This record gives sequence, structure tokens and C-alpha cells, in this order.
Amino acid sequence: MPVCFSDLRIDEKLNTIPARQTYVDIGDITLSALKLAFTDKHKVSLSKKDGHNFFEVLNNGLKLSTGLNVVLGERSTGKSHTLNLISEQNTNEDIKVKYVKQFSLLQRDEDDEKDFSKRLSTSQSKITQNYLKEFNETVDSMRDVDIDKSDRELSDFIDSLLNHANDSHKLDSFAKAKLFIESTFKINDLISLKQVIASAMTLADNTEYKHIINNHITDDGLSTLIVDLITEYNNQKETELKKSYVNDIVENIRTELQMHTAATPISEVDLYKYAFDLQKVKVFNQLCKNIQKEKEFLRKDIQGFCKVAQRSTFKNARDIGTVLSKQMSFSAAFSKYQINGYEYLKELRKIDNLNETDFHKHFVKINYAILNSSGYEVSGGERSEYRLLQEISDASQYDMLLIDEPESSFDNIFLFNKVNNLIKDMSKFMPVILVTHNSTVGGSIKPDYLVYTSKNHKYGAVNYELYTGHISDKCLIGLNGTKTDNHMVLLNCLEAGNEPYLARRKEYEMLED
Amino acid sequence: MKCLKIDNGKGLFSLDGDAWQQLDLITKDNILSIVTECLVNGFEMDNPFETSVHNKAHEIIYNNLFTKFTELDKQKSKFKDESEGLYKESLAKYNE
Repeated sequence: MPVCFSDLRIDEKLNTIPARQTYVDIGDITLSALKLAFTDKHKVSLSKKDGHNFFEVLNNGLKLSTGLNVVLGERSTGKSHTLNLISEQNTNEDIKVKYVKQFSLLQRDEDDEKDFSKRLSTSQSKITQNYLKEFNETVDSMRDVDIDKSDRELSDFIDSLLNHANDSHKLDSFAKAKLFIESTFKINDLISLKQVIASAMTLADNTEYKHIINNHITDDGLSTLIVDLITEYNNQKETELKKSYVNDIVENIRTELQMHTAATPISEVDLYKYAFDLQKVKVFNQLCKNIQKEKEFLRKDIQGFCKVAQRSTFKNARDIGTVLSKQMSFSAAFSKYQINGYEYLKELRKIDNLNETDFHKHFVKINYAILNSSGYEVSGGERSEYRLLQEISDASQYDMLLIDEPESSFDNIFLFNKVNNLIKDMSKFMPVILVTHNSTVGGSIKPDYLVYTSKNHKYGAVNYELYTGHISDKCLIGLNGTKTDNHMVLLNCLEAGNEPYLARRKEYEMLED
Repeated sequence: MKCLKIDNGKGLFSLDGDAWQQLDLITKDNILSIVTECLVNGFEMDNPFETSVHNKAHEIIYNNLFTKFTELDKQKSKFKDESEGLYKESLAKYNE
């Protein structure tokens, strides 16, 4: 009993009703019989007779294997049209169909190399992001470092201190109050203590390595540690809150006292921050120097090719600009690029519309390259091969894979060695439907099922027919029940007919002799 | 504990309720000691709007401290909650 339109969700955007059906093996059509059938997987199948090995892919009744299907047929017999229909009728919000169209992967023009490398970088942006993660955090931590401002504050502090000392003999009662020259408390953010607490909690909550942790510290010991740390945190936090409260009071009183006197107040300076920032700049400059040194940081084999990621230094201002798709001028910044990281960062800050979160991307150039099996950068043809293999691999994210004539510009050795194997592998996980004319693809791939498209003229009208069957079947059966000879179909579609096939075979035999 | 008083038109502060010093000598550390002590025991102060402070510098310091300490006295429980709020659940969990 077919349950039509299985799992179909009816909504306004629904244009095509998918062919998908589920068959349940029941006698009487009752809810209880259905309920019982759904509890037994042997009573539920994708096709009427062939269990889960076949499913209905088109509304016209075309049934295909859930493995590898090869579509054969002469020119203009509706092969691509059939693939289009399959894509159309099966794509919905639950099912994603990957459709690799004919010629879509070929080298298109002289910009192909540039385009390939750009796409490669975009597709690898996650790797770049991951590689630059710590550097990004470092650049971010430099956000509040402004040495010029700190220099000015220090100089103001010294000037005001000297002036105050010079005026000391003529200080009035307002200026004599200790709070007049009082500085504020430095507030501790307690970050290190918070990190220690979080680490102790991680240890306490971890179950995977509990046995190792407990070899060194008991659960009770961990709990006591956490409680002690939190108590310490609360005490320190209370003190810091009080200090921040006192700072408000001191600042208010100081401002009011200053309004009543002509004496010079002593400017505030945070010497700790100043010294720490100088240290930060020193380390940051060293880090920038290191990261600009050329280095390969990733090498990965992909289907006979090799993906290589390399960091290097930007050669000119235009080179820096290529990181973002926006047009910006980096010439002023580039003049500082090779001097030191901090000076360069200062210049980047001056560029309008340059997002602060992108700063780190402008310190180091990240390049990706695909190398062939000999270790050289891929040629135009190899780029297409790589693209095809990537497209097919990418299909693992989908539910069905459609490929239209992959042979269009690949040599047979590549098709036989790589593409066939990959397609075979994919068909173990999802239905694959492959249109081909090529005997290397069609003949050697050993498909689970064949579809033959044919066109005939009857009574002045053009009729398109679809025949299906296993590769070992004598005849392929049409949707209307008519039969066609499988052997002839294979010879005609893959070998250009019987005569040329025999002639070719003879030639090969002669060459061998 | 009494921390601020007005005597002879001058503002005075005390860290222990016994020894008194003039307000122009108060430092930020002295204020912090008073805050720490009085958050537990409460703030007692002469009201500058009832007894005036004649020394102008003292008046500025006194009025500011008085306003802030009064505010803090009212928010004693909020202050405690805020400082102990974080990790409250964790503390309860690991204290079991």
C-alpha cells in the first residue's frame, strides 16, 4: 500500500509535489494496522517490490536505485531534462540535492587562476580564522593601549607636580587639604582569581578524566578548594567595590576643592598601566615580527592533490588591501608595516571604515595553494579536476547527488582513477544519478541501475521514453512497459555503436600484437 | 560607630570612634577604613545641615562624605548582595 507524498508538508510555497512515497505492508487500511506496521521496519519500504533498494524519484513513476544510477542516451533525448526534473521534484526543505551541472567546473577564462585562488581562500576562511585566533585576541588586547596618550599624561603629571611644589608656600586651606592632591585607588578586575575558580570548577565537573584527577586530589578537596577560592573572591570583590566607591568620593571632593583655589592640582597618572602598556607593545612588536616570517602551517592530502597553507609578509599596500573586498588605501599604513607592529596598528586605527575586528587580518598574508601529485601548483585542467572532486565530496552534506556528464573535459585516466571511485563511495551513502556518454565512466563504474532515455517520432509527434533495468538485464523496460535491448543501448551510447566498437577492438588487438 | 563630627565649626573624622583628626588631613585610605568599618556597624555622623561647618575646605569635604556615607548606609544590604552575588550558586553547590 503506497503512502503518497510521505513526510510532505503542505504550505503556500509548495510548487511541485515530490515523488517520494513510502510503502507499508498491511491488509486492512486501518489506523491500528498502520500503527503496527510502523513499529516493524520490515513492513515499511521505499518501493513496492524492492524494499529499500529502490525509490520513486519522479511523479511519472520512474524508480531508481538508492545507490548508483547511470543515465544513458543519445544527444537530445532528454537526459539533462530528466536530471532537471529530478532536482526540481526532490528538492525541498527536508531534502537537499547536489547538482553538478555539465561544464560548470571547466576553466572559463584567463581569470580562472585568480578566481580559483580567491575561492580557495574564501572556502578556507575557517582555517585562517582558526590559525589567527590567538593573534586576533592579542590585537584585540592592544585596543586600550595608547602610548602617546600615556606619554602626555606622564608629562602632565610631572609638570603639575613641579608647579604644585613651586606654589607650596602660597597654598590656601583648600589646596592644603590632603584630598586636593589625592589620587584614586587602582581597581583590580580579579580576572586571574576568576580564571583560577573556573579552572577548579572544570576539574570538579570533569567526568572523563575523573580517575586521574582523583589520583591527586579528592572530590572533597576540590570542593573545599573552590569554596576557599570563592570566599577569597568575595572578600576581594567587596574591597574593590569599596575602593571604587571611595574613588567617587575622592574625585568629587577634589573637583570641588579645585574650584575654590588657584593652586595647581596634581594630574592623575597610572604608572602601572603605563609600564604594563610599554611591555605589551614590546611583546606585540616581537609577535608581529615573528608572524610575518614566511612559514607553511598546514599541508593536507586531498584526493591525490595537496592543500598547502602558508603565511607570509605583505609586499605592498595593494597586497594588504586584497584581504578585504572593500576598496581602501593602505599606503600610509604600509609605510609603518615593516617598522613595527604597534606603529602599524596606530596607522590602521586611522583608516576610516576599517573595522577594528578586521585589524589582525592585515598583519599577515595567508595563502592557500593546491599542488598536484608532483608537488607543483595545479594547471588549468587540474584546477577543474580538483573542483570536480571537491564538488563530489561536498555532496556528503546533501541527500542526493546529480552529475551531468563529468567527462566533458577530463581525461579518461583521471575519470577512471579518481572520479569513479569517489562517485562509487558517495553512492554507498546516498542516491547518485550520473549522466554520461563516456565508456570509462558508464562502462567501468558498474552502476546499480541503468536509465536509458530515447526519443522517437510517432504519428508526427516527438515522444520521449525512459527505460530502466539492471546492467546485467537482457532488456530494459520502459515506463509504458515496452522493452529495448540493453546490449545495444550500451554499445550505442558508450561505444558509438556495434561496428565502431568492433573496429576499435580490432585496432587495439593489432597494436597489442 | 561615629565617624564624622562637627566641633567648633570644624569637620573632624575618626577611624575608631575615639581619636579625632581634622578633615583636611583625611586620605583615601582613611575613607576606605571608615567605609569598611561602618558598613558593618553603621554610620553615625553629625548632620552638617543642623550644625554648620565654618571652615570652607572642611565644609566641602564634610558635605561630600556625609552625603555619600548616608547613601551607603541606606544601601548596606544591596552592597553585600552585589559583592557576594557572583558564584552564589557554585558556592552553594560545592559547599554541600
